[in-house]
Amino acid sequence: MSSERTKMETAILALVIIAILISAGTLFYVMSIVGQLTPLAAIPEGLAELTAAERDLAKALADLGVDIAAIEERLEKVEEAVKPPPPTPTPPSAKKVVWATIAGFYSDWAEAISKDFTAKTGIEVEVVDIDYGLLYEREGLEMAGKTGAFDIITIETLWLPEWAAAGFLEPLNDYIAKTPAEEIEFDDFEEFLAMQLSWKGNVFGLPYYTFAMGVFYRADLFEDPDIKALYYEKYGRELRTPNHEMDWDEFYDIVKFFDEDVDDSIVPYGVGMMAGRFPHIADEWMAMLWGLGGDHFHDDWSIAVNDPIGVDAMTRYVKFLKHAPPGALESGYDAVVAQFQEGLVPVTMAFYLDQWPNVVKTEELIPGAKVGVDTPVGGLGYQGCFALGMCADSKNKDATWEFLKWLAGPEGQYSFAKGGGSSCRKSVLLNSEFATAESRPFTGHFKALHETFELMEGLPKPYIFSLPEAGKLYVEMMIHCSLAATGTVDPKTAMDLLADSYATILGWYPSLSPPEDWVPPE
Amino acid sequence: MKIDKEKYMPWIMASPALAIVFSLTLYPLFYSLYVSTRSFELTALWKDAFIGIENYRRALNSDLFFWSSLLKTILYALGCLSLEMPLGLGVAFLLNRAIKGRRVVRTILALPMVAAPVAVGLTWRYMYHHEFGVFNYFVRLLGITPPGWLTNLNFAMISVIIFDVWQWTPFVALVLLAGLQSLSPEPYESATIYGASMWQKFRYITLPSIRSLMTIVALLRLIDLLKLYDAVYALTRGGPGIATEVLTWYLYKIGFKFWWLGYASAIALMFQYLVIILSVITIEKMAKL
Repeated sequence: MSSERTKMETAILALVIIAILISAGTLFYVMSIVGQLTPLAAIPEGLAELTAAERDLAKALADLGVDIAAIEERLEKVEEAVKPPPPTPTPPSAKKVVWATIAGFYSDWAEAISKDFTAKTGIEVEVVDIDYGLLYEREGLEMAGKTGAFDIITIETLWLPEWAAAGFLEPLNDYIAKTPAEEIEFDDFEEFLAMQLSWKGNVFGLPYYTFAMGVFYRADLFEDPDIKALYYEKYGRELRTPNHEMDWDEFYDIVKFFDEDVDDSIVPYGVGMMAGRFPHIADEWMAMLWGLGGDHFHDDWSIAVNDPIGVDAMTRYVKFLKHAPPGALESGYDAVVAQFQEGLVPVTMAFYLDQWPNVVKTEELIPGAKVGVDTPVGGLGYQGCFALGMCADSKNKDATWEFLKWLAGPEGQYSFAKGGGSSCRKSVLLNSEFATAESRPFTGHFKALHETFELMEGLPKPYIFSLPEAGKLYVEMMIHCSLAATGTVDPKTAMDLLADSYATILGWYPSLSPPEDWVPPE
Repeated sequence: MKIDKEKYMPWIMASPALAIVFSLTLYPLFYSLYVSTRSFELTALWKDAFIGIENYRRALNSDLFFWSSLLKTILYALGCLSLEMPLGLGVAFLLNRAIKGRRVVRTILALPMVAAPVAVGLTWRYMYHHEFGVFNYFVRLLGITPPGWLTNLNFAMISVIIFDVWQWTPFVALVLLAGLQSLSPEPYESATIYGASMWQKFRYITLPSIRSLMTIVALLRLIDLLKLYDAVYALTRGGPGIATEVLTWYLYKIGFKFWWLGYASAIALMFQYLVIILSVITIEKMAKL
């Protein structure tokens, strides 16, 4: 008896549920029909467009006294009121990003400026400082292993094509497109740097710190009447301060003059050179190569380093070394700064203008010293930068972009420049606030820096900056320049070996020209 | 089947540690062997393909830098070993005497080898600097033209050897000192009674007694010397030119600058077997002393 009763109750319950569902479904269906109907009272034109079933339903509702027009009007008002607002940018959900940067004063500044960003946005920035000599491989390994260890990496311009080709870097075009123009001001970047940081139409890095090359010199020595008279007597022309209007022949005469004719008590050597086995030697040589009209590749991509111009550049480089301190062969940029501060040299070769805050200290160390800065001899140098890139395997891409655009943006770059950093923005370099006597110890090189970039405007990107193999070629440049500089081999042999290395790396060896089926990267 | 627990228990007890060691040595070894047969480039994975022994052929037949760096490595190792062993033995003999302050001297002697090689190397690099280094400061005081410790093609390797001898002779000395202190005095007393000279005591009593210890020390130092990297990184970066570009430095360039892991694996494996061969030769030579 009780089981029968239970079965009956269950059946009744099921019927009730089904009935509710049908009723609810019908009601929703009716409501949806009502919302689409035009007022029946005005024999709506739209009625003709309704299906037959819809017309029947509308007529039935009208017979029931339902004011469809009023309902529709009300529905429109409700729709307007509850229209969802335009989508707002999703705030970054991550609260921390990890930034790999260069150890030393770069990371000291990075720590300071990161705190400003954190205070502004609440996003914490962890700065990981890595020695520059290990930066390339450390960052490369983390990205190759997709460890997600870094969100933001510091990229040297020659490394970018390789990492972009390998898919290590996130293209930034979409991020740039959805960022308000005033936050990024992309056109404000020095044009040549922005060009170096794009590959195959995609932007992979934002420039934030430039080491573009110019020249430093002891203006007090160049203006000394006795020295000027001696120079005129020997060479029959005025002693000019070096800049882009000077060619390498005249510069060599000046260097030789200071080394051999000016008393050692005033300045014992002729020029400061970074001829140690560091990447800097390649930068110095490239400045000469480009300044003399040469390049790494011809227009048909055949290798050009061992052409007459390439060999000439290396031969001249070795000649200049004779007038540099003997320690040049173990020197990087820090040693040249020390040589300048000690009064050992009157002028540098093409040198990193970002070292101005260090070089200008010579004025405090040597009584009467006055440091001048100008564009590089020959007009061209290795004008590159450190850029910020987003790792493709970053798990905090939105927060990463917030930091990237801030640090490379007008506010971050201004703050960077106030601390003595070499900005990559025209507006910062030309800001009159940085052209005062008070800021000179930190920003006295900004004018020369901007002029250096102006010299590059309109020039095409050198071919080497398009090659994924550029990082490897850079390493070989360093080694072979060192071979020539130390006299291990003569300049011609060094450049021939360098050409062979290029060909091996590019997979063309023994030919120095690309195979017919080789496709240029850009 | 009854399992002999006594026979297998040691293996069972050691198996976790063995598993870790094998996974950290054997697996990478076999993986390296596998990678060495491929054109594997870390930043260009699309180039990966099986190429057989092509990497080995390239290193042995056409890579002059490989042979140059290998030769430099061997010369460096032999140069350091030939100085560290006699110097270390001499220092050990000196410290074996009951002199005042022996413990203090021993402690000071240990300082170079406990310091981080890169940190100490950077200090030495500045000491070696031609213009600003302290070594050339004193050389100039003597009226001598200062040498290019790290800029002269011939001197650079010697400078690196001097650095290594300074840092690791104490290790040799301390290990051999332990050996000397463990020797029994009776044979020496007997030899004295029989009128043996100092050299005869050294040649016929001391040397045979500590021969096995010297072999171990020499072997450890040889393996360390062949793996040289820190000193080159800190002092010369392989320069001037390629004067100090030893095999590990060249291998580092191939593996971590060029990302040619296939080629680097081939070079590393050949180098590993070279180290084993040299180690065996060293053991046999020392055993004959």
